[in-house]
Amino acid sequence: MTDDRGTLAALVARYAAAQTLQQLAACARDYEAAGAPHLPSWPKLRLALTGNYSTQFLARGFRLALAARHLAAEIYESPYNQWRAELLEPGSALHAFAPTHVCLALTSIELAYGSLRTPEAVVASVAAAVQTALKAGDAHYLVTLPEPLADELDDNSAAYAWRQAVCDGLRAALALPRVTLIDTAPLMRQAGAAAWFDDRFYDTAKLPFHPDRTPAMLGLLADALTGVIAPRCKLVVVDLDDTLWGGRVGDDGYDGIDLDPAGNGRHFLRLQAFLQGLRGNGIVLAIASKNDPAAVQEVFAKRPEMILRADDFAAVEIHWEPKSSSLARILDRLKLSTAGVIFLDDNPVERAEVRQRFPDIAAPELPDDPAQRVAMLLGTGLFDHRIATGESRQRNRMYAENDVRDAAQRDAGNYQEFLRGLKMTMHEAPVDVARERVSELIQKTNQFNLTTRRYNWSELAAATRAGFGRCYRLTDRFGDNGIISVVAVARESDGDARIDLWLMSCRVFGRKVEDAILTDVIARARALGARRLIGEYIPTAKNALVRELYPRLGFKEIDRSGANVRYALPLDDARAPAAADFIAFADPAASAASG
Amino acid sequence: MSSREAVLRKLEPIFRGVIDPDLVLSEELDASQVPLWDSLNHIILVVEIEMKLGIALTTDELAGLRNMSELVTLLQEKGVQA
Repeated sequence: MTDDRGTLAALVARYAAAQTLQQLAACARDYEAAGAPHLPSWPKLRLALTGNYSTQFLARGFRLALAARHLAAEIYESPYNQWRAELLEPGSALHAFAPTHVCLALTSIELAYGSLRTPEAVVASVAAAVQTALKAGDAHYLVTLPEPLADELDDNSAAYAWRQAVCDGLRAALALPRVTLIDTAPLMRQAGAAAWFDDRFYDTAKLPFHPDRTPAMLGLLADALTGVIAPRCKLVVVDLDDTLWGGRVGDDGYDGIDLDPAGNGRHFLRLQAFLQGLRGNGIVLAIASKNDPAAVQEVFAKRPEMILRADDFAAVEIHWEPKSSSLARILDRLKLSTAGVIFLDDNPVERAEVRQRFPDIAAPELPDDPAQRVAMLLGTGLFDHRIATGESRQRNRMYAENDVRDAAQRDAGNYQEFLRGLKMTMHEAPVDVARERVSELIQKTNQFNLTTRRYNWSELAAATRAGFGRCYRLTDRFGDNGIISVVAVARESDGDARIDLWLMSCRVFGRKVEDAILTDVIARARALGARRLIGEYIPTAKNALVRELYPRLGFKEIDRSGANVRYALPLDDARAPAAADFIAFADPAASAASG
Repeated sequence: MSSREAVLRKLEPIFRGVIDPDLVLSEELDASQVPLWDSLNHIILVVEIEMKLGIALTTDELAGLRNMSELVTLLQEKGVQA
């Protein structure tokens, strides 16, 4: 078995690298000569291959192509251009083979110039054959849609009109359970017409493409088959800020996020269009965002540029809990396993957190540059070329209807472990070291902002004259998050120290960073000789996130005027909340803080 | 070594890669003597010859080539040198 595995791995590697028919044929021959090794755990199929062109090359390589996708198969290949008789006759050799899957590979060349010719006749013939064959057994049918002909000069050509009519007719007639239509046009677009077509091989061997395109065609068919057996993509869970749009809606407001079709926003809109296309193919969409639900609602309601609408999503998790908890809730609600789930998030820390809890979930490394994202996703092979039938198009709606909120609390046990693994280090410094960034945070931060005082530099200096103004930079194993928090503390005449300003980037919220910052603030307030640390919460439309921050950190309410609340934390007997031990301070001040 | 012989030696690794690693090419060889020189492998041979020798064959040429002697003559006409 070990030898088998080694042989198998080497053959699969050769198959994956095969660019020419010679390379494909050579490794397929060696695979068959080795006894078509496969693992006992792989699903076993019986694949019948039939069509209207020479499918022998595809048939020769199919078992290895499937082995590369962890499937074991017996293959039956129909004689040349016998697809109609094979499908229509209940007693045909194809049906006698008792296939689990049937691949019907059709070329436009024979359809358009053969006996059928008119789009109506082609559609009627193919649809009747497949519909009849469906009754002969329980096989799943994969049918290639006619490819663009070399004569298809442009969208006004007769050849284009012919193909569109055939494709539309087949899509309508074959929107059935157990039928998958495969669009081959993307393959041809990638290869280019000059590399795809070579009439010499159709004339001499009835091969409708250049022989060296065989590996690509085989890959497409094998991908489609794999997609039927174990969909590689059935659910896509997306982040919102800096993923579906540019910027953070909580800070920038619904009207401040970037969805500009003429600017950088175009790339976010492209991703939305890509996701909308997936949804049209029966793939379910869901949202997992650390955000303010009301702000997100505003985006859907008030930004007409949005391509995706709120009801495109079958499940929505918008809050500040870990994304892995959101994923767990979404899966539970939609009654899905982790197979075929893809998580899209611009933040590498969120991707790592989800991967740690759900190793099976694909969390592709989205490029930082939004312009590169759709191309990157297409290149992952996570999204197969399957065209959905009526059944899977219904899936989104079924999920949307079943969307009953499950309030069960999730086990977040792994989350602490994840935070520990982040190896976070805090670098603390006076605000003067980074005036520009500190000013920007003061002007722009809306969500984690206790008082929302938009100080200019001299106002900040005045507020902290007898106190201190500090900024905090956070690094972790994914890199430098930059300055993520600013604190300004004023020394009051009555001996209290008052947190006049405290704001933090919500990108690092949920990592106990604020607890660590507070230990530093407490140490500094003590050093000033203060007896109490005062905290204020001034509510705004956007800072509900921190309404309960001070009580959670051990402060007690002391007074209230209108909606504004003041809290105090005594420093003399001070039992500062235990800072998370997984955030280290790079500065010697840390030892003072914990002492 | 004649120039025909030299063309034959250029073809040998191509045939070996497609048909049989131990195959020795000679002018007398034709497809009927080589069981694996079937219509499918013939297509692979044609594609490999075009790519590796940098020539283009017409439909008639690629359909007709079933013996080494004709193949060598044709390749010489197309300028394949020793």
